[in-house]
Amino acid sequence: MSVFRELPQIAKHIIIRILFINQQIAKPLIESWVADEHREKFEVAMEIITGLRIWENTNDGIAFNLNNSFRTYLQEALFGGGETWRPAVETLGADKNAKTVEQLDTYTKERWDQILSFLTQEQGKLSEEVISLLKYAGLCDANGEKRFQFLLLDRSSQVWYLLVQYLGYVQKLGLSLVNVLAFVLQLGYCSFGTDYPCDNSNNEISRVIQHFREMGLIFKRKSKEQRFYPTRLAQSISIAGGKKASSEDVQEQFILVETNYRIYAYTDSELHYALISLFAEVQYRFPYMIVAQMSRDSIQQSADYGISAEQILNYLRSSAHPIARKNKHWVPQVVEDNIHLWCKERERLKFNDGLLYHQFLDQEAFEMLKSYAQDIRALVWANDERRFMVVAPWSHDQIKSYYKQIKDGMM
Amino acid sequence: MVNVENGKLVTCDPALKQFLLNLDEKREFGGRRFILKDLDETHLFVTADCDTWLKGRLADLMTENSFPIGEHV
Repeated sequence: MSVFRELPQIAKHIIIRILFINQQIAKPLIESWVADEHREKFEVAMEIITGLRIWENTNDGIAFNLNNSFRTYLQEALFGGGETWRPAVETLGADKNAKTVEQLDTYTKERWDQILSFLTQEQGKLSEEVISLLKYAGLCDANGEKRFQFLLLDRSSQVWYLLVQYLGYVQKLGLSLVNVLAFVLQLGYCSFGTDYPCDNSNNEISRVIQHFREMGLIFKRKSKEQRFYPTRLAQSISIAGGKKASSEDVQEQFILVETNYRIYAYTDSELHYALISLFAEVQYRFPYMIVAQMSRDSIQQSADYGISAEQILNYLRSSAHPIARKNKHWVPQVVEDNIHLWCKERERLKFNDGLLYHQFLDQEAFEMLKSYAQDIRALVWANDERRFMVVAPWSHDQIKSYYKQIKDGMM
Repeated sequence: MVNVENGKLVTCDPALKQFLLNLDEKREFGGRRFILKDLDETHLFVTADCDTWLKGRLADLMTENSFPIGEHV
């Protein structure tokens, strides 16, 4: 399926057309589908398909036969098939302790906050294995750059980040990556609020479920229980692109930002206190409320940790108070602009390692070297008029030998 | 004949380029020049060892020219 996705448009078209024809297709027939003026693109597509051995040539290249396993897999991928998970109701009957959607959400939030507060204050109820996962993911590093970036991500990006790291981590635990990955992908396509049966005798998967329970991706009442519920977080795996919709219902809305760069946060959570103090200076702290001030210094300090303006703003926006949401801009425009400006200040200078070539004798030699550098993706910058070009350091030997070649050729 | 020089390409805005030229002129970087070649309005080619120092100078310049806002008394 992923092979298919990467093919050029015409190639896709051809394959879809012949996917369900279980016999050889004559080349002239395929050619007749394409108008003459697009012949060139067509030839390229044909070449790619042949090169990838998606079909086999028979009868000396005048007929094609689609590769059997490619055909079966693509058909399966397009129309479903293979094994899928059935809701537990069908095999185990209704759950006596069925959970509502709200209960699941609360559970998820509790669990995920445990992880976040562990990262901010190094406390929280986490098992050894999850803690070592966080360590593996580099989120407990002393310099904190990764950790701060992670904390300011929105919820579903956090889940993704951790999952990707998790896949590396399970290999270290000696679990099979293929099995875990299959489980994760299946999980993403489950429907929220339904319970699914699980096989507790499968050691690998039940260990994964145990981890996911702690991260709030899965709800399972007891570890011996025969069923589990995927939570909203688990679902966000499959809808990474449209993250806004899923993450907002889980996240709270409590922050007001004034145009004088002051933040009022109606919260008493240690977690948010720690987050806000990353990029603003906390001035007052009351029960249920924090007042903090953003300034050039505080923003630049956070930039030192590797936090970008966009990350700060994303955090402020995604937790904007309902009252702030009535305005057109959830965070005042002037604040947004200034955070960007403050961060940009440090980006006014951009450095690229490179080698400068200059004093070319004629335009021709310059053009030749330039286009060669471009071909091997080594060209960093060039000025045609004054015949300057800067190339990446790694390419110098390559370019030098090329230059020798053409010089010898000219003599 | 082609000349080859090792260093770093700097991309910046024209105003900042003048600032860098000035620093170079005054030999502020350890008493020597750091600009190898003035390429165009927004590009310079500099020695490989001066980037951290330049970033520091830029930060100083920005601090000098910024006025704290919203500061409470």
